Amino acid sequence: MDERARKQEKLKNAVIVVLFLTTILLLNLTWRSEGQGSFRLSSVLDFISEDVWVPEANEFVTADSAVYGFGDATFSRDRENADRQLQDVLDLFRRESANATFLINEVTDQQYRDMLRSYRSLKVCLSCPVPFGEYCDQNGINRNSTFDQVQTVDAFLISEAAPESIFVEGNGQCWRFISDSEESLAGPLLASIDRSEPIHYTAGSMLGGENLSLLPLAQTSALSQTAWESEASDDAERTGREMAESVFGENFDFVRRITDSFGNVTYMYGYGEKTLTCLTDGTFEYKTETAEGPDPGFYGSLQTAIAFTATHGGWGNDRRDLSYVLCEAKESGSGRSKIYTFGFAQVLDGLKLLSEEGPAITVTVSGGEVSYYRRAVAKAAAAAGEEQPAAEAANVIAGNSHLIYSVLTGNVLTASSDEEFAYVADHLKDAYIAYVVTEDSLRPAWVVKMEGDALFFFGLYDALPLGFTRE
Amino acid sequence: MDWSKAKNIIIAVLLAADLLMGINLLSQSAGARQQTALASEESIAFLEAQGMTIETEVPRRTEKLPVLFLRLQRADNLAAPEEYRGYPIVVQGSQIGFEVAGSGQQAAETMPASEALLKLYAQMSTQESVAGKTVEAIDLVYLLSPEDTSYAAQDTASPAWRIRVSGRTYYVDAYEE
Amino acid sequence: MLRIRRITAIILAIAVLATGFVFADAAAIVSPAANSIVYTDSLLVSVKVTEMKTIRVSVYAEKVTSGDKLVNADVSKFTEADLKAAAGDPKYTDVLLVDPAEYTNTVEIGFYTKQIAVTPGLYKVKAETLETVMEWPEGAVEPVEKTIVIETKSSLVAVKKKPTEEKTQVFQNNSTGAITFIRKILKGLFK
Repeated sequence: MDERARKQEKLKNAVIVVLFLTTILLLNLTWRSEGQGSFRLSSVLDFISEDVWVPEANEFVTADSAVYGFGDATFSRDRENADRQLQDVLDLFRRESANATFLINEVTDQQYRDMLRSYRSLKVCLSCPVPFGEYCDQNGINRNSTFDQVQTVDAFLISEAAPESIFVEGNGQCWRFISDSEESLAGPLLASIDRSEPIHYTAGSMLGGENLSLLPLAQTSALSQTAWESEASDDAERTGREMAESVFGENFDFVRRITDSFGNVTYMYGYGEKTLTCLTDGTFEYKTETAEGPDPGFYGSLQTAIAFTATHGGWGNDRRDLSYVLCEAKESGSGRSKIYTFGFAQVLDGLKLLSEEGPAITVTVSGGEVSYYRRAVAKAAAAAGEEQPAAEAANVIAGNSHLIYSVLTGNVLTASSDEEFAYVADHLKDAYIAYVVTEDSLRPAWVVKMEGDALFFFGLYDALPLGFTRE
Repeated sequence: MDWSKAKNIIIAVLLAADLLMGINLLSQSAGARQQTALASEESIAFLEAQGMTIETEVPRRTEKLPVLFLRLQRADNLAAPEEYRGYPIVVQGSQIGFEVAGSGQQAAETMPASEALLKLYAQMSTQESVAGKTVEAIDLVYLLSPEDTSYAAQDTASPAWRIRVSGRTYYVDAYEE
Repeated sequence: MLRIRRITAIILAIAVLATGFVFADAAAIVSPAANSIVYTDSLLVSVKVTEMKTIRVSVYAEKVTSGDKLVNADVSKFTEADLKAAAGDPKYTDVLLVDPAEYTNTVEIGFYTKQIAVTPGLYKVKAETLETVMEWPEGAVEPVEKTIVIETKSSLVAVKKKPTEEKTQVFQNNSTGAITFIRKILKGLFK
């Protein structure tokens, strides 16, 4: 009897286990049938997904450089302290906007020229132009309707010529904000400016003409060519697959996958409504139809671009220092068809990485949605060589004026070398040092920026052409 | 505590719960099948009312199918598998040889054949009158359209409903939106 | 034979000098602009070379005699007309400020640039275009190379000390003052 009872109990235990497992299975089936037909674990566990770092838009709208004018036609450029200088100017602007009122006048070309040449000044240049109204709102500057006459800001200027004023530059114009405050605004800020090598002069002073863009005198450099590889070089296929999964989500297993004979893969959803191309060199390009919708504004669109990048490739593992800078910001269209395009360049040891194809990351946002995303991120370490004289900026421009002129105008034969040079000297916007991404290495180079934002790259030491970008 | 009695209660409760869930699932499934069948009948009735004749049996079941990855070889007279798991593989356009390189990791439900017929009707009616047309055959295939990707070494075939109407063959993407 | 050599040398020299006219204006002084007045303690010397030639750039301080010493010229009251008149004035003595520098342009357009520290005074920047010619000295068996100057450009500049109390007003104070006055009135009315 006991033996029989024991067997019965053992059987009951087994039945309980089986029924329990069956219950779990049926619960699972019930849940799935009432929910979606299938699901991906990652989409269910989104709320506890891996730690994704999403920077704030404000972190990208920073100072590119500070330019100090000494009132004797000489200038210095300071990149190290540019952010601090910008904060000082913004603190001043905030304080004045809270306590005083501004009268706003447009500054004429002649006034601007005289001011820059003959008076001490501090100019802080932003990394890209920003809508002025939104910039004020983001930085706590009180504004009223008179501020609306200033559309865009790309630099702030403080000058000894008008110590009670703050100047705002944007879109080729300069606006003087005259404060009714009694104290001198310029004094404390101008006291901190200091000469540093290399000394800069205006392009007009060095090359002839009236161009106020700055060029450095002779300088030396220890920058050296360095090897690079794509961020996807460890396992291009796996990285491409992860990128495609992040783009297409649960539809990933059902998109069309086309591979060419070189190994480049294109993922296509529907009849091309959404495509992702993964090239073997580690470049990713995502395209979808441009959406129309309420315009979230510059900062809203920038945040959308930043968030999208964070979840599709990311911003890097080091959260302390951004290794990207917002180097381009363009707007087109209006209202519900407004389109913003942002370019983010990688920064290596304080220098931008640029290429003919554009910056490392380009994002287009319309109606609050990303419609285009291109990513070609490099991994590299800066290399230092021996200090040696760099090619002089003036001669880089003069020696390559035929190339620059031909590319910009399409005229190859008709103009004389003097006409070509005069055109280039007149339309020059900037010249600075950066790394250029070539097929085999990162090369230190002069970057010559022309009106229309075309960039031309030349070897830092030999001034030989390395390529150019076109708009 | 009388564990034996407790076990009996637990067994009874689990059994009851399993039965309830099982009946629920079965009735859901039956209901879904009934709905699909009803929708199918209504679709056929609608098409016939528009003047179309359905001469073939319209499949009632839907399938769960993954996509198919094909390795392409652009040359003449190449042998190529004609079907995969019973479903014909159709390559539109030029002569291309291929072999099956793999399938997608997940499978998705295809739309019912009747729904595909309705989509085809909507597309055809914008270009011509469908009255007098006859649906001669309808079956599920894997479709590849490589003519717009002539550079491809590998491409993806997706399930599609192949429908022959009055001697002309049409394809409708079989995955739900 | 000697006669033939002499004639050849003369013809060569004339030919080179003639080509000097063809290649005139190979160099132009961009900075300092001729007869300009600047307020600075460092002068930018920029010479534009538009041919593949070598130039020699020299900077002189134009000094005047005071007792038995040479001192900087007093240019505090100089005008542009004074600068024009100063060119070639024998009362000024050229004193070389820095060693002459040579620059060879190897492309279509090149620039020689240099910054030079200066004090208030009168300065001359001279750019000489150089050419290498073959000369046949008397009694020589073969011609020898000789560097000659085929073109000279110069630019006078007066460096003055910046008068702090006499700066040109970029923004008219009068209008600013009136505007500020009106604004203060309005602000007071609507406070």
